[in-house]
Amino acid sequence: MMLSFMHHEWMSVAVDQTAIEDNMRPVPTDDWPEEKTPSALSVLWRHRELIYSLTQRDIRSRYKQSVLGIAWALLQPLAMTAVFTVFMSMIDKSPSGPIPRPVSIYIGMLPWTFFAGGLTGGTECLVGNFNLITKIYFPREVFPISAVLGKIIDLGLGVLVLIAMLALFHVRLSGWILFTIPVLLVQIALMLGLTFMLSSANLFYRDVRHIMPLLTQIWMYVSPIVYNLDRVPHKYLRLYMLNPMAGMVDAYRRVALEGVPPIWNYLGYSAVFSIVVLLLGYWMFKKLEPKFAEII
Amino acid sequence: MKVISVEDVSKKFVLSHSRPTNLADAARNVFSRAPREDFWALKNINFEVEQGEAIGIIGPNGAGKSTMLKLLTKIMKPNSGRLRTRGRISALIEVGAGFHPEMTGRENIYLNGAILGMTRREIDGKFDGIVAFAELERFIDTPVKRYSSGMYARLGFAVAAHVDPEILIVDEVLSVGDAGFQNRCSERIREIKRLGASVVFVSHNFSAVCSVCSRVIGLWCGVTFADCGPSEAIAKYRELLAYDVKPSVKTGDGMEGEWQSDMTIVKVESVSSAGNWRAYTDDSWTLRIHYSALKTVSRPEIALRIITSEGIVIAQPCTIDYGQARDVCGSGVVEFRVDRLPLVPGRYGVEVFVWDTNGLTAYDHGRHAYDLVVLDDISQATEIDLPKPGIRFGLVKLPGEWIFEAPDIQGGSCATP
Repeated sequence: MMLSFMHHEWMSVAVDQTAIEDNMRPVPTDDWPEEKTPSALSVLWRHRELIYSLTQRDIRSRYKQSVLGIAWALLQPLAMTAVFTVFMSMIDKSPSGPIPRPVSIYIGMLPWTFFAGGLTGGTECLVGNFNLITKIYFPREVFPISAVLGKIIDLGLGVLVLIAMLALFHVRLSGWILFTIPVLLVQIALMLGLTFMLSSANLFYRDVRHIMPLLTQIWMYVSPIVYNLDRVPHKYLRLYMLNPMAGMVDAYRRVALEGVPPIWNYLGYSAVFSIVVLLLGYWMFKKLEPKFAEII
Repeated sequence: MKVISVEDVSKKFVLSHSRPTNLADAARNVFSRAPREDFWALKNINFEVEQGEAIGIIGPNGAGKSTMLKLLTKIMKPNSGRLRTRGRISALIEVGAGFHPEMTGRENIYLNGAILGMTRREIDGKFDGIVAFAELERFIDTPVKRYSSGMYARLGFAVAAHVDPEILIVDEVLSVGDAGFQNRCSERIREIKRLGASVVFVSHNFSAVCSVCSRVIGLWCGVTFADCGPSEAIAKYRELLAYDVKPSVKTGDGMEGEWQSDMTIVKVESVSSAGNWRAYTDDSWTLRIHYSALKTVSRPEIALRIITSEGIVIAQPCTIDYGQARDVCGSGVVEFRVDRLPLVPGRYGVEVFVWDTNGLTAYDHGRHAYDLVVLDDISQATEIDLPKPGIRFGLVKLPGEWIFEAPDIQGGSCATP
């Protein structure tokens, strides 16, 4: 750098001057606003309009200048469902129970698209907003949160298609279908926790963005998306159920299509797992947050 | 009441010379530590700002001004010391950062407003004012990706300028837009100040600093060298610049292979009464260029270029344009003499280069760049007789004088006709 001998001389002069001035100055009696870290929820409440605006930006910008626009959100899970319906019918000839296969796959594919899309978008949410992060301060957790929220609109549209499918295939509904909402909340908790971790990790090591598509792909096959949980060999079931998404996807299928309660052990495990990930992710995110602007 | 208090604040950056950005490197670094170097961007900074006060921060590039702003706006945290602020801070730092190109001007106003901490209702109330300020009434429903860069910057500034801050932080944004827009910006800054807000203003533009600020903090390599009135701080700054002079010769750019080295510059000297690579305004200055030609070179174009720190070329005298080119052979010296140097005090870059007579082939280009510091009476004088005026504004001192055609004042009284 530009350090030369003369600067050092100046440095000492400047420090001395301020020291003298400090002695002459009366002790400041002003009371400064106390610096305490506000709780996570109060931060969210205070920045709710910002979260809303960023979410809106996410949604609007995603489908601008495309002919099909928001219809793309529907196409993704529908196309995947169609492909896997044909594919699974070819390799699995046994009757698939009372539920028509397309609906059974779609009920897994819909939350999965939300999950995978949320994680992929969430991983990029800090790197993609680097110009904001290095210019303006506000709590950084608004980025992961709005990245996840932005995908909910896609999910909502997918639910409309689901309703149409349920009617089309004459699936009998029960009151248990309302239980999809708490399961969805557990899923969102897991997504937020993972997004907190992935987005900040991606800031330090861009490897994360490359490995995510691969991981979500593998993750999909080890979750009961395109097949039912009863297809999993019994000896592997305990290992299989370590995947928190397995319990949730199975729960969706049971409460929405089969009209039976979820398997509480599995869902309970998923819920505990998700909340631990959420807390851990948030802690990690806040721990790393002061470094974001420097490391980006 | 104090609104900003900076006590003994230091900020360090770690320059690890190969920062791992992928996992493989990171793993390798666990076993062998990469060379790291601490760089103190700011060291033991102390100052306070009273409510309603406007302070300026000046200093050369790399002095720590931007780091100071990032600490004030809480984008970064200091490594030591305490920094306290009171009230809503709004920063006009590189405006338009939050814009999304696919969204319309209208949508971006709401988005950027929210980013800057305004509520929806607040923005509703100010919307028309923002649009009028940016002069974008006709284009407000056009996606901002179709905006010109000027329109983009105007909209960004307009949003930021309509936040009602208690502390306004301005970082060199007045350079956007045309003169009319710039005037509106300065006017708006003064208006915010009139409303009781404090202003922290970072700029290289000394006249803007003088017109807005009542106090200036000078930063130099991360330490404060001044905390005083604007003109005094600027004088100190120029004095420091004078000490820091060192000719920087870049050698062996790797470009050499592409040249024809029929003729090369061996050495460049600056000769004046102020010393090595220094000169006084209005004083004589000579640039001596030692060259060496392998064979007879027909009327080469030998030129020097004087540029400001912003890269503006002030003058580029060359032998062809001056009608003084001649054939050269072997080693020799060519001088460019100026009787009265018209540059205002400050720091300039001087580049020297040689081309063939048609300006088609470079013989020696890009290797010889120097810093020239131009001083005035203020810098020569000791601090006691400071009030002596020097040229403070503009790029050149026009050779001219001021002549009054007015009656003399006799005996201290003014006789009214």
